[in-house]
Amino acid sequence: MTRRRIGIVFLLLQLAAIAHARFVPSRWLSWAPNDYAVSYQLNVLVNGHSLSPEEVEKRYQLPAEHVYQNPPQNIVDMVEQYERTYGRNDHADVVLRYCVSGRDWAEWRWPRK
Amino acid sequence: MTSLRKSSLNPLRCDGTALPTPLLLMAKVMALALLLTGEWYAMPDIFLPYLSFLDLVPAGHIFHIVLEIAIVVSAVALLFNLRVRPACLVIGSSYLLASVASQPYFTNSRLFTGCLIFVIGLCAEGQEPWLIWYQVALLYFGGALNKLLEADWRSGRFFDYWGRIYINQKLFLWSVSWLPWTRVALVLSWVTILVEISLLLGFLVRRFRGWAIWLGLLFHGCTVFLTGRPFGFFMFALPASYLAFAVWPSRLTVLYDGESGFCARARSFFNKFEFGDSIVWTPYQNAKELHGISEEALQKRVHLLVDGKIFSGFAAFQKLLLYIPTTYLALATLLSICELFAVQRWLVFPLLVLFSPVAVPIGEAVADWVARNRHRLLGRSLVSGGVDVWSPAVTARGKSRIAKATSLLLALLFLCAAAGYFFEWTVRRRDALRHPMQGQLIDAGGYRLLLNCTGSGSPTVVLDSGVMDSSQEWKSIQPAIAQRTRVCSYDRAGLGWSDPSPHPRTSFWMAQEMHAVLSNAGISGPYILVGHSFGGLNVIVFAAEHPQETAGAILVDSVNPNRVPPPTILKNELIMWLYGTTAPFGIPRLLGQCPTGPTSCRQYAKTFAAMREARTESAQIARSVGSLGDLPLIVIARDSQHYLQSDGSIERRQREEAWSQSQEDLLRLSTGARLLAAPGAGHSIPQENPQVVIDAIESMMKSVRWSQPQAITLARLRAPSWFQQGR
Repeated sequence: MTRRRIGIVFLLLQLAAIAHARFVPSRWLSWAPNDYAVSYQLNVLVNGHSLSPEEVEKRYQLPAEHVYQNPPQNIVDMVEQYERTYGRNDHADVVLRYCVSGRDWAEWRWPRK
Repeated sequence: MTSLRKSSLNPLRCDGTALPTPLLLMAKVMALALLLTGEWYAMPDIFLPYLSFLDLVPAGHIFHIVLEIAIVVSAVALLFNLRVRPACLVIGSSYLLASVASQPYFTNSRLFTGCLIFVIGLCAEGQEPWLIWYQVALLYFGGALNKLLEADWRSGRFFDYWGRIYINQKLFLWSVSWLPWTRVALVLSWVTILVEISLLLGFLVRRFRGWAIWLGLLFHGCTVFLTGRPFGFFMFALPASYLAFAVWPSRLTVLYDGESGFCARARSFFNKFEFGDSIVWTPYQNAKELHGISEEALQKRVHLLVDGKIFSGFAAFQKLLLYIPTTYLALATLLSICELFAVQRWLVFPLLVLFSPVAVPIGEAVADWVARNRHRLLGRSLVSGGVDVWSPAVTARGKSRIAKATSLLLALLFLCAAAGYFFEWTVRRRDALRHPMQGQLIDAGGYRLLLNCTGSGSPTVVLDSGVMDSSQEWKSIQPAIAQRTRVCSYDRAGLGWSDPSPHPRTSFWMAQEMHAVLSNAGISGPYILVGHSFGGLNVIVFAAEHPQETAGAILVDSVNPNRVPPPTILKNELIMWLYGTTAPFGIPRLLGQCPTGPTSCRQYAKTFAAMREARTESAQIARSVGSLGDLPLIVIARDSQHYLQSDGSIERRQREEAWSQSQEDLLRLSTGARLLAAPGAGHSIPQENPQVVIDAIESMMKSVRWSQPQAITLARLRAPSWFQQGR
């Protein structure tokens, strides 16, 4: 009986995540498998030194250039979280260039102006 | 449902545990694939967690080790039928924990794998697995809803872009080439949306589940076939999840001809792989009940009774395979191996066809032929009291045929191996004759490298080849330069005529070896260094290490040390290991994976693996050089159109743009740098447009002959500790 209750709560949590995703631009834990194609490039400047692709990958555990299969907001979430926490003393300048489904390239910058 | 029996440690048995057979089988298929594909090894540490309080967990750096151990131990326990439900809960929880502990690690396929195995652990024997049904339905519900609400999906824009990047099945692309791609993309978008909605409804409504299973398999099979990608772990988890919807029979009764040696052999074959007691084999001659099947029909074909339904001939064979757990575990193993070699797309459709009704007409024809000739194939068997007893004469004849077949197979294998060995030896011998050694073997510190110097004069032009090329690469360029000055090409250690090196294959060591060979051969500077592709990294390092001896450098479509792609994936290493192992028998050469020339294929594979391993380090070393001061530098870049003419995809265009940019960035290495284009040439400029390289060398010779070699200010201040260690 307990297992059954745990199972029902577990499924309801997923349903809530699907519903929550309707109100936010990111898609975490909300079943949108491979629904996006976002080409992006991450350029990072730390103390005036431009990070190489390997250094960028090491910093965020994300390739510096890639086609990402979740919305660009997911990348923004990760970079922002990193810069607010682990990298807050680096005073990094980050430029994320991305293009969603082949549209024009857009840019997101950290720190936010 | 299967009744609770004593569980067995036999991994091919899926009964007698706390989980029903199909659920245990589902969990085992995923556990096996997790282990075989190395997916278990990708667990993350706590890093940018979705739940930020996880950052407070102490010793976050050992997090991945703990998860990996938990997954491996539980997967092994699961495979051996030990504590199967707790094992599922541990694997599922580990995956769920990893997904929320690291956002970069998160993928939908991993999350689904975690959810699925977790809910299997919540199911129990004797209950319907509705938790799994709803879990699968939730996936399709979320997917279909998201697609329906995304404008890019409704307009086909997503597929337009995604398809150009990922769909690479030539036959499909050719078959739709007469239609505008945007129209194809729109159709594919809506087909995907409608299929996901159909799957959602199909899996929720009990009577449509059979159709939903086939639709799901076909749909996901098509995506794997068209793209060649497994979509993370979806390739295993989704088909496995369909097992929860299958009605698993408690008993299968096979009525067969007890007098046929072939049937007896078939029975013995199936018994080898079916370890439960769910299949009852009954010779129809001894059957107490024929279930309404005529004796004439039983004589003609084998019959299978599954929960009141009757199948015969090929259909019986199909069903029999479908209800044996070993089939699924073998398929999971096969697909895992294929995934490692990225060839899964070629396996998916044959498997689908084999088990689908499509195969029935051909299968029935084959089954009928076998049935008609069964007495001739493996002789007769006698029936006694329901048990087959082979007469000694028949047994001897049957055994003799099997022995003959085995001997024939072994002989064939031996002949193939011998023919392969002879082929490899002949081709190497022929290559050695066609490409006689030119130059001298020079000591580089206990091992010898080939150095081929021609012409006379100064400065000396030194040619360094692309990553796995030998000095033969420069055969169109070296004679032209030799008419004006001394020019030396050389084979890197482990390639061409050169011995393998005991040192790591980093640019540091390669530059050291190049300098040692030139010094030992009595060829002093100044040098004009010419490096093609990977050789460019060696040239940069050489110029930085020996500034007084370097008069100029030419980088021919060189790798930019700032843009070396991330290294090494397991499957490539496995392939290189396989190439190395099978090289003496000519297999890699038959596959076109060996060089012409004297390098043995085995040595080639070894050198390649070593170079790949050290590739990132080589780039780091070259990057640490920073600047070559005002050293005369010419960068020769390939013509992007060379590739774009045959492949105009967005991905290729982006790659070419990035590569062109990387060539322009190389100009920052020196204040005396300039860029030259190689019209019409791809990456292999020395072969495709050698004149550009010759002109560049001549141009540089003119400029350096009139000026003394420059002292180079090295920006090696940032040289990290490994640079020093490399010495």
